[in-house]
Amino acid sequence: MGLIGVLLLWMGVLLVTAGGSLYYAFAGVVLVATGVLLFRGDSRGASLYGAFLLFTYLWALYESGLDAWALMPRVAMFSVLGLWFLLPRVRRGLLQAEPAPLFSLRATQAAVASLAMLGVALLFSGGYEVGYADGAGHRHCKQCNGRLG
Amino acid sequence: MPGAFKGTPIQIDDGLFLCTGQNIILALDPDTGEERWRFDPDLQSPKIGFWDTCRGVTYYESPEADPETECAERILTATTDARLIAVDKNTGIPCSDFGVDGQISLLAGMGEVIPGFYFVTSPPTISNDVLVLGGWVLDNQMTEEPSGVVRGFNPQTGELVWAWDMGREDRTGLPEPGENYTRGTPNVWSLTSADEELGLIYVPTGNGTPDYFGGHRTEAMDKYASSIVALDARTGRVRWSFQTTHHDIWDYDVPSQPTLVDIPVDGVIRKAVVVPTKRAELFLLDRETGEPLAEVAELPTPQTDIPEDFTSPTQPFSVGMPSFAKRLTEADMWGITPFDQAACRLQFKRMRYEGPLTPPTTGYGSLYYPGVAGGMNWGSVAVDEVNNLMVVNTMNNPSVVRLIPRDEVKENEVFGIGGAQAGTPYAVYSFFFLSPIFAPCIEPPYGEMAVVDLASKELLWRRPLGTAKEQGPLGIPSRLPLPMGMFYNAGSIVTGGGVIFNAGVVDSTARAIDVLTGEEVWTDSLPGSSTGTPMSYVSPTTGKQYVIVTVADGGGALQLENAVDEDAEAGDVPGGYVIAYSLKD
Repeated sequence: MGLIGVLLLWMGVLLVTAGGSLYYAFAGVVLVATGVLLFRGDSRGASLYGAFLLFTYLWALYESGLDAWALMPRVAMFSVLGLWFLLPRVRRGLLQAEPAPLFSLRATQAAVASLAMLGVALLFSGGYEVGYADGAGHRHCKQCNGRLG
Repeated sequence: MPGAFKGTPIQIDDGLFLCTGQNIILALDPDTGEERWRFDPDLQSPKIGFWDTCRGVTYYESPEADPETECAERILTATTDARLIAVDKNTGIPCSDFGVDGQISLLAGMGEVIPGFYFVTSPPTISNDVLVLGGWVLDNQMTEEPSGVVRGFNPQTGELVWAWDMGREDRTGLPEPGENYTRGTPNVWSLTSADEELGLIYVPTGNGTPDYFGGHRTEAMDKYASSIVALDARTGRVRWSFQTTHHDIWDYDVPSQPTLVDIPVDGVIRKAVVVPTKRAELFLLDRETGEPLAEVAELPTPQTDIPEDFTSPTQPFSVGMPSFAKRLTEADMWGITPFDQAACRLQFKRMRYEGPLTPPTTGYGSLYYPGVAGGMNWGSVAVDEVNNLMVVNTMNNPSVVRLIPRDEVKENEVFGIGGAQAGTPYAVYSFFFLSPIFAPCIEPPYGEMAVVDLASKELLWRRPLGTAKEQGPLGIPSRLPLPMGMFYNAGSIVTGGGVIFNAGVVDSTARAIDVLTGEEVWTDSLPGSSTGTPMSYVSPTTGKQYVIVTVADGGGALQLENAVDEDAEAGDVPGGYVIAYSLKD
């Protein structure tokens, strides 16, 4: 986590210097912090990562809307990394106690519900069918004879 | 028989004629695919890359000759080692009345030509009994490259009828001994079109060599560059010309065969020509006069910061037609992971990019979009003549171009698909805009198909074409059949029944698409992706209609597949394939 953070921070700083998005440098800082907390066995690392993931989703939706291909590089890797926190061994280690069953938690229920809603929204927006910003969709051809029925 | 196999077959009576990447001419039975004869010109050109291209052959029937005599009907091909060859249509035997033993050299009058620097990849066009051809000049090497002269030959004897040398328009024949056609002039490498009735040949031109620097170009070199030029078929003189990019320093040569259409404009049927461009702008012109039939506006464009070069203050945009170009932003940058996305964003911010026609520069270079492959390419557009609907194939594939001052060029400098540009103050590095793990730096779609109503000039539909199944980071196929819109440069055809056929998307799939709705109505897996435009014909013997696709598959022998109803399975033998599908009704 820390290594990913350092690499992203470095690239992010270069990008900011070149006048680009602040997100990558910010993500780098948060991930370095997460890494340090986790290395110390501090469970706040998990919470920080959760908050980061939520922020990343909101940022990704802000930048690319409901375009599944465009969302992919922004959320896929961080989501997969996030699953690691759900492993029972990891949760036990971080909480230093027997964790409550995952799906009994309010936060889990909320997260699953949100992701399901996002999934449905993506489906309705065309899923992996690529959309057009200029709204160019199917129009009716007035002069054409409908020969294909 | 390695070869790019970009050929589209032609059907003449009960024969099918095509060429392989090595200019081998084949005659096939249109119903069974059985080979009747083949002619191998035994090429002397380098066996790689562009030299493995033959986009088709040309048919000519002598108006006077007795149909029983040898070569009354002939097949002509222009080769990548710069020869023009004529063989008998029925036997494949070289025509004794044509040049010497059925061939002529295309190097006459060219002056010194380094082997492999001048070659022909597109089939010549015959109009009013004159065979017209241009040639491809190797890109980006130097200023003094072979001439881009366009020539007319007698298809019966192989004699030169006329030459159009844009550097010496006053000279209509072969240069005097000791002289040669003007070097470094724009060439005509793509396919040409002809209007037999108007007696005009429409040639799409390239830019003066090299591509990314033009400070040395003469007025004559810029006058007809990146244009469509209408030549008188009988004399080779310019009737009109229309320039799609002024002082082109982007390699925005016109790559598409000009497409001739007769369309209603204000209630009157007009003879028009559609000029698709790498810039993803489609120009619609009157083909008698060259006047735009859809509004063309001269709009201000970014100016160069290279002191030895200059830029046109404005460039033509076909504002009266739908455009398929867009302006990129940092948020359009893509990648598979946040890392390569960040890397693409960084590169995007560092390069010069100010929208369409951002000129090449030094340092981090420039981004130009659409890139060197288009936009549109040599697949051109297809037209449903019943409904006046135009099928557009277009790509979203930006290019990076970086000028390297001559004194900074290292000994083993890597130019990508650029070149040394000898004779100018700059070498050029050019490549497609890819992330460090070779994923595209911009989001999908990469390949799209669209239909434009030529009567109303409105976009009817537009959709990504192709799936991600054969693409992936580092060249590893992802196997994901997700619709993504993939790269392609082969063209489409539309049948009289309103079905579009295309087999060129890099997901090895042949598709049939409803021209009215854009729905995919049929697909089939191919052994590879076609780099040719399909063609369709009705067999004169059986009355069956076929659609033919050609698929390149480097190495091995050319495999020919028999036409099978509705479907044809290709064998396991590597090679090129000619696959025929028959239509049910």
